[in-house]
Amino acid sequence: MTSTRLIAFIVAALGAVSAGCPDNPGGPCATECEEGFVCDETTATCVRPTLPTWDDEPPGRGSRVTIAGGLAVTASIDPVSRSVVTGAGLRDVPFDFRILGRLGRTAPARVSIDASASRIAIVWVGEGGRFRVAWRESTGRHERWSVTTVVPPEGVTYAATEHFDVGVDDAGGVQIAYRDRDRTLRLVQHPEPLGTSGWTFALIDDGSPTAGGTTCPEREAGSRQGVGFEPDLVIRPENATVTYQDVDCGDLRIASTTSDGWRVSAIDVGDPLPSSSGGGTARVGRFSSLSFDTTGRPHVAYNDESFGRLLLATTETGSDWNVEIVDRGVTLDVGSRERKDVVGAFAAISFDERSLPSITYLDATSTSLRIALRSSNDEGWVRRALDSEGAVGFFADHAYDATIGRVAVSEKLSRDDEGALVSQLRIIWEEGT
Amino acid sequence: MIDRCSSTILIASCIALALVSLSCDEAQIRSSTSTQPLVFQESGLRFLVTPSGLETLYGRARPEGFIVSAERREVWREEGIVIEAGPIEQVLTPSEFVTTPTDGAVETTTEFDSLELLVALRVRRGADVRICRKGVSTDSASVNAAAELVEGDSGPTFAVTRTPVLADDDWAIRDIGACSQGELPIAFDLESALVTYARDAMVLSTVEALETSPLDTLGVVLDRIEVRRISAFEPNRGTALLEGRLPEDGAEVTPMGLTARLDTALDVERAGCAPPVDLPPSQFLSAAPIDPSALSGTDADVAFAIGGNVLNRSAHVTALGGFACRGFEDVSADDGNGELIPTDELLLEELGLEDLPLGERSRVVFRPGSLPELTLRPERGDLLLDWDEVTIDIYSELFGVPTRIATLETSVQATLRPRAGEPGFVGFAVETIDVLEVSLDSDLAVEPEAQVVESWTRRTLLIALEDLFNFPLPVRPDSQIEVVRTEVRSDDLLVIGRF
Repeated sequence: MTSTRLIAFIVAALGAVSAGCPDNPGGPCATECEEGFVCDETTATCVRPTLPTWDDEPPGRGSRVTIAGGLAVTASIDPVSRSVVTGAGLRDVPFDFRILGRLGRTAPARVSIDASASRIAIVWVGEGGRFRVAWRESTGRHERWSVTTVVPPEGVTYAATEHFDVGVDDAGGVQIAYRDRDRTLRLVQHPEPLGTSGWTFALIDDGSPTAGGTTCPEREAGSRQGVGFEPDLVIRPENATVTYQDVDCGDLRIASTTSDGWRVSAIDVGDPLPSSSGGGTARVGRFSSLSFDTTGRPHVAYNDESFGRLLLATTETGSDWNVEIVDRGVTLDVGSRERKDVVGAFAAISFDERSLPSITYLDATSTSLRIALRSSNDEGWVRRALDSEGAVGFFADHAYDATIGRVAVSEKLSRDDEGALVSQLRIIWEEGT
Repeated sequence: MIDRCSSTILIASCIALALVSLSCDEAQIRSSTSTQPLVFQESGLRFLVTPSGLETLYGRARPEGFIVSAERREVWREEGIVIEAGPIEQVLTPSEFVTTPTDGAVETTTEFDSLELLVALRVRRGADVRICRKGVSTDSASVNAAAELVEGDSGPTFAVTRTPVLADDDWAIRDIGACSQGELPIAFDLESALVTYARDAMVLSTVEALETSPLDTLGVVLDRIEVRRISAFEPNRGTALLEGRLPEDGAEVTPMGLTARLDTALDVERAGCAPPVDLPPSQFLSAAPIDPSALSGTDADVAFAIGGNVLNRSAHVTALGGFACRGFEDVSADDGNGELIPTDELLLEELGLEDLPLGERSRVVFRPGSLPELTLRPERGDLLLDWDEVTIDIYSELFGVPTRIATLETSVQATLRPRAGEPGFVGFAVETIDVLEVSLDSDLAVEPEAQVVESWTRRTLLIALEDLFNFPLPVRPDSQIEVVRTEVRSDDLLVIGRF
């Protein structure tokens, strides 16, 4: 950890935890500011603390991106200092990178981001396996964020894992779908205004046969990794929906809120495997990415682990899913031999204003960031490399906005002059359609 | 239709699996409807089945024992009485079965102790029918026969051309259970009729027992078949076309046993992962005859001579058919995935990759960029493998995703030593590996010295090639032949086995 980063982190940490204005008891900050706010002594008003800047090359571990307030906002982690870094910018506007906080000592190097019209939130795992939530108004100043910890109500315990995803509703409430250490998928949520207390917890799927009537024979036979890998949460006015992997059976599942609570069903249980691969069915459902088109139909892009390919599931009815292969991962190598590439990890899907999907994902064989775009004349998919400079494409993510175009991020791994491994955030822009 | 890995696997099919070890799950063998003309290599394979091996083959042709079978026969018709003997359907266990091959025939002696045949006796008087069961026995019987090798519908077949000779002791008759056959005609000699019937049954059954197709029993099917590479991934799927053909006079019996020579043809439908080259023209160099003295002191039942060019062409077909594209059948990291090896074993720190957050398991993916060439080296007792432009991809889990972290391209020169003691196949131990013109492609490796890369590549190839080279014996898998000795000869690989 460089001294610059350390000092910046300490400043950020102090700023984030301070509250109230002890030196100005008679001013507008006489009463304590709300959690996540500090008193600005110049204006004597409660403001979000100013985050320290990240002056080095931005790190790329766990990279995520969204669009808020007309800017692309990134979140990523520096694996050395374990700092959580966020940046905001545009193609022609240099990114302003700030340090949000630090991962817990044993926390996974993962971060999640989401934005609604009113609010943007970034979540990571802090000390004690508890979520830290940073938030600000979507149109707010990027250097000022509030940060809080998700503290469970009395009698409730939870332990975050690396599998979580944040969603922000239009009113600014925050929900986090996460796989608890007890191997179940759960939801923790807080309405606006956010704070340390007031979080409520709910079970989405414990993997039991009663969870929507879905079954997993492997789990019943004794294998117990449970459910909830790599959830992707989408909050719409009508409901919340999350896709995730049933780890024991290698299935893609979906859960949606209804008037009766969460309804769980399986989207894809995998194609049969040839005997050369051990038989059974393929393991699918990793790195799921959920998005709704302009007509409200859900589309889920995900990775088929066994076949190393990218799939897309769509439904007209909400129950009968049509699965298509977006990328089989077969390329021609320099020796004119067909090569099987491992593709489809870190899938991220979005729709443009014509309701045409695009999916970014990792090609783990060429270590490149790829994109698949549905052709406008519905003649299948156009696939190409979006970024292939070095070992890139890890933690691929992208966001699309008709005004600013498509912004894709991923982690690039490289070596510095001394041969040390360096994590860099790659940001790739493409024009809007 | 031949099911994959069925008991009727044929000799040629094994060739397709040669050099690269494949399980039954990875190849489908079936009859081919292809009419593509194939170029045959004369005497690409030779067999020798020893006299003791012939005895075993006969035993395998009749695994249930010596079947005595005879239809019902009328033995008397006079005075309004019809008497019939039989049928017999009975399995006997010979006390001894000896085969003695001679020039052109196999002489056999089948001996029985305390033999008793159960014969039905049917006596009909008008509408009245009475059936008794009789035991027809002798203390000992011996059937001598000779079977010559003739051309049959399914290849060479042993046929008994002279009536077998039965030598026996006196026969005795007894009733089996209560019997009310009624009064028999005075002129009817019951004992003589039943003994004659029983003796004829023994002779005819001997003829039946000896008429077998030895090559079929051995597992040789003279047909065109195809071996399809089963793979989860289309680029790996190719097909080998194979045919065995027995030339005229290709099989003969001598005092040393049964010998056969087979013309072989191999062709291929290229897999996408294979090097983009054509199958070279077939060479014409036959397997040498098998000198029975090579089997001395081995107690062997069978020997195979596999022509060096058959081996080499098999290697070409293996590479072009996708059978050598290995290591990537199941991308997932399931515990049962046999393609995965501990990352620690790869010593990635030598390439400066130790600081990557890699998972515990990795895989080595093998992709040929050219066709392998095999050279027999009888003076060293091994085979030299030259394989240019071999690609090895190293995949390790990175952030939970199997990720290619390095690729090596090199030319390989390896010595393969055939080893005995394996059931059903000849294993080739990789004794030495030399690598030439090694290139390392990795965005993540710290550029190591060339010498380190060479050393690392050599060691990784040993991991990749370990147990990769096997040559299934050209017999059906259930024959359970144990390889007891191998010999690299100037023209072929001689494999000596025991049933």
